[in-house]
Amino acid sequence: MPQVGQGILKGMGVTLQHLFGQKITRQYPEYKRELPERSRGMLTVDMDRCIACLQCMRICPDHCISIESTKRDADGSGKPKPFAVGFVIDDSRCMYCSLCVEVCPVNCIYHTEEFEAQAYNRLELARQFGELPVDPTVDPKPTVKKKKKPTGKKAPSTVEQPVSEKDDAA
Amino acid sequence: MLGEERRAEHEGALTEPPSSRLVSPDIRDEFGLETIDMSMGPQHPAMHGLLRLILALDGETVVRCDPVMGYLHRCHEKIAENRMYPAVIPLTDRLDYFANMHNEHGYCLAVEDLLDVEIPPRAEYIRVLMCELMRLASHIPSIGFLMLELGAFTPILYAFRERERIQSIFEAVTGARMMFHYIRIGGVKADLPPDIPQKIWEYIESLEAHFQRDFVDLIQGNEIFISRTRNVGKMTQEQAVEMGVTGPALRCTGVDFDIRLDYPYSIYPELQFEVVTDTAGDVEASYRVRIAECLQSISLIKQCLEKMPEGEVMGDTGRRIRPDEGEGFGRVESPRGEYAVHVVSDGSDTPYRVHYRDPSFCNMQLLQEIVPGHYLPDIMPIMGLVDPVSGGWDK
Amino acid sequence: MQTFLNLLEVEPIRLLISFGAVLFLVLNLAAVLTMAERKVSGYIHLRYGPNRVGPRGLLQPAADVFKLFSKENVSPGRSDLWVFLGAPIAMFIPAALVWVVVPFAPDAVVADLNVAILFFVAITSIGALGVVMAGYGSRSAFSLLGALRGAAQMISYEVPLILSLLGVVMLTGSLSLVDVVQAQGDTIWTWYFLPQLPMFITFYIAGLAEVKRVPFDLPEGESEIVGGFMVEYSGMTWALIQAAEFASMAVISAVTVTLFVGGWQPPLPFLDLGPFNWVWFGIKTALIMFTFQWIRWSVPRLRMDQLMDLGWKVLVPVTLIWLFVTAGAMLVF
Repeated sequence: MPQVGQGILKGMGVTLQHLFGQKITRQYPEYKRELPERSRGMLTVDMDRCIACLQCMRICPDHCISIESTKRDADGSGKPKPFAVGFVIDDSRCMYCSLCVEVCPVNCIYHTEEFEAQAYNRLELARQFGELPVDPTVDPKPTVKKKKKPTGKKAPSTVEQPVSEKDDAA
Repeated sequence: MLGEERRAEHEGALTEPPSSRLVSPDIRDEFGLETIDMSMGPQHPAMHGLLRLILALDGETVVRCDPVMGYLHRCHEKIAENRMYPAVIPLTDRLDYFANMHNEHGYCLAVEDLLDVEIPPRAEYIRVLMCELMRLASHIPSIGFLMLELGAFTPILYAFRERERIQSIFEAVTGARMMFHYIRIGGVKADLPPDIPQKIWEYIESLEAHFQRDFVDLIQGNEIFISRTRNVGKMTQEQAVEMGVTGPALRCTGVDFDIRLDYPYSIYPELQFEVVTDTAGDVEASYRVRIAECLQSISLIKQCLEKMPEGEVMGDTGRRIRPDEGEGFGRVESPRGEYAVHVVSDGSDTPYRVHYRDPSFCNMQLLQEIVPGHYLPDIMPIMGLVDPVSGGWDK
Repeated sequence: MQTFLNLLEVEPIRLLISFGAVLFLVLNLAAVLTMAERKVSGYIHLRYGPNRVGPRGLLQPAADVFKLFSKENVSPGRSDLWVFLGAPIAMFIPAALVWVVVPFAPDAVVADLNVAILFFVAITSIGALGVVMAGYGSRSAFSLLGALRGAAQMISYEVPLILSLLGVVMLTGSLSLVDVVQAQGDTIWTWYFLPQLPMFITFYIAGLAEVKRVPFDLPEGESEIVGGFMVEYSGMTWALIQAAEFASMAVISAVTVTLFVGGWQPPLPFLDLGPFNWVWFGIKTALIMFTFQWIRWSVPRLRMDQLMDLGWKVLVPVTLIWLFVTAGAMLVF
């Protein structure tokens, strides 16, 4: 049986203090907070530096990067080198994990401070960076290698063994 | 009680729980009373996520409570079988999304168990610092959610103010406010920025200054809070241990089991802290345990900041993480209890099997055992005792 | 102009015009109160509340009303439509009707009944009917629970509500609210809330329970039964229920002020404003409504059995004891 007593009045005192205290709301979009240096916003690619090594495409867990590469002599050195003619980043899939940024050998893909990705159509969220548009709805081939090191041990079997027909008849 | 046909309709409903608090069926039969079947369904603003509770109510008393989970199942364990070891870490972030650092930490401990990697001491200190900050950022909103379900709308907003401040510290360190992807296999991703230790000190001192006013004075002495939470959800130690409950829900019954002290990992042996227990096994006790753990975390953060050594932050794991065949196990004390990861490797780039032992999943058994016998409005404080997170129980 | 004022002397026309004015006031008050509630809650929560629509958000009620008018009034398929649609009306009418006896200023009351307090008590009791109609007509488990809780709560808290009035009635010697205000004297320390402090607190708490506000908002308990008896309402029907709730909150504040805090009288005689004393009435009612909101955002809600314990085991004995104390004091002094 609760008695109205000091506990409630103390709590009401705390709320009254906050009533006249300072408000912590920031009126977005009139006020935009300064993002820290490391904050991970939407991705962008510096196509001049891209060497089409396809590392980012391979490591992306959500398959949001699709690259179409050919061999082209882009810098006039005489030798055709891999060149990305099509590069698409699908913002509707990207989860901002920054694995592609870490794995890029020339640091050409990096996070910006943009985070407002809005579009009326989901396909508009796929940003094309290359010359030719790449279809974002086609999954790039999964390129995870399954090379095993030769050891003698067998992997523990967690797969259920199929029931043999003898048991069914019994 | 329920007709057999109706019982079969409830998908996933289990058989009669062996609880001694059920209202006697003889009384009900004698008077020809019926129970109301109600589903506190998946669409509910106050559940901790997408949970369906199938309730059988006798007036306002709950006769039977069956949780039905699975509305947020995202096949994390299966997806992890197709990703390389470092790429599983963003996945683990999304399990118990209130305590992301602990999820990552548990997985990394499991893989480091497979690899035998030397982790530099500075990385260990940074890991513990981040985990304790995360514990603060998780316990304070837990208290807020408990009060929200009791009907007080203010403490949760004060709690989220604290969580926002901690998240802005995390953003400065890791780059993201919630899905950090910071703790890596072998260390952490990058060192703390140079101005962060000072910012953390300032934040901790300001939190200590108003923690008492905002979260203790407002709540603890409130007579209505006391009458709603005292002797509600009372558990004995045997019940809690039998159901596999861990974390503050276990420690509020009096069992002192804390992974940080009983199965020490990282640098917890070098830090000074105690296990917080309380003897009454009810909701008020769990509230007190959480408040005390917040204060413990504050002191642990201060110790980490003082003792942090210089050095590298990433161990040497080699170019590719391709462990030998075997099994690795890592367990951490997440804010909800014991979070453990079991990784089975078959020698290739991707794990053969990853299993997450999530505390929210195991603590949910409390609902079926403890709730029958209580009133309908008591279900919510008991959920506040268990404090599950739907990403955790559903994976 | 003179003919208009002469026309106002004619009794039926005066009644109609003044009741129309009061009804206009009540509906606007319901809208303004939604805004005030959100602003007060915002400030307590360290945020601003609505501040986009209009200057500092003052046009928010207009936007809300416009939105609610344009929404579809959904009703559950198997619901009893007459009961379902009649419930908001049954909730709003008592809340609006009690304003008829509230004195705003000297000689400014719609109907100076000499049984005004009895009228107030009788009409407030009808509010419980609306709650039960809403919950029963919705035909859903959550609503039924909310309705049963609401009925039990409202009926049981009428007893302390009425008993706490009796001290005021004894001191005044009349059931008319105008007489109660006149009998309270001129200055703040002669108003009834000081000699009748336990009755004042009991009336306030019972009033909170009648209006179903936190800590007594279990009938509409947002956490378990998500809206309770009004969970199936949407659009204008829901708006009418909310208006009824805010109107009854305002009327309970107004009656509290009239009975205990001096009605339209200023705290000190030299601050008297003559016919403009409704300003003082408005200030006091606003203060009491602010405390309603302040309590809402500070305390959690009571469970049903604790609520009933409070009503029957605490408030009723307190009022009964204080009645005897008042009677004894009246004999002595």
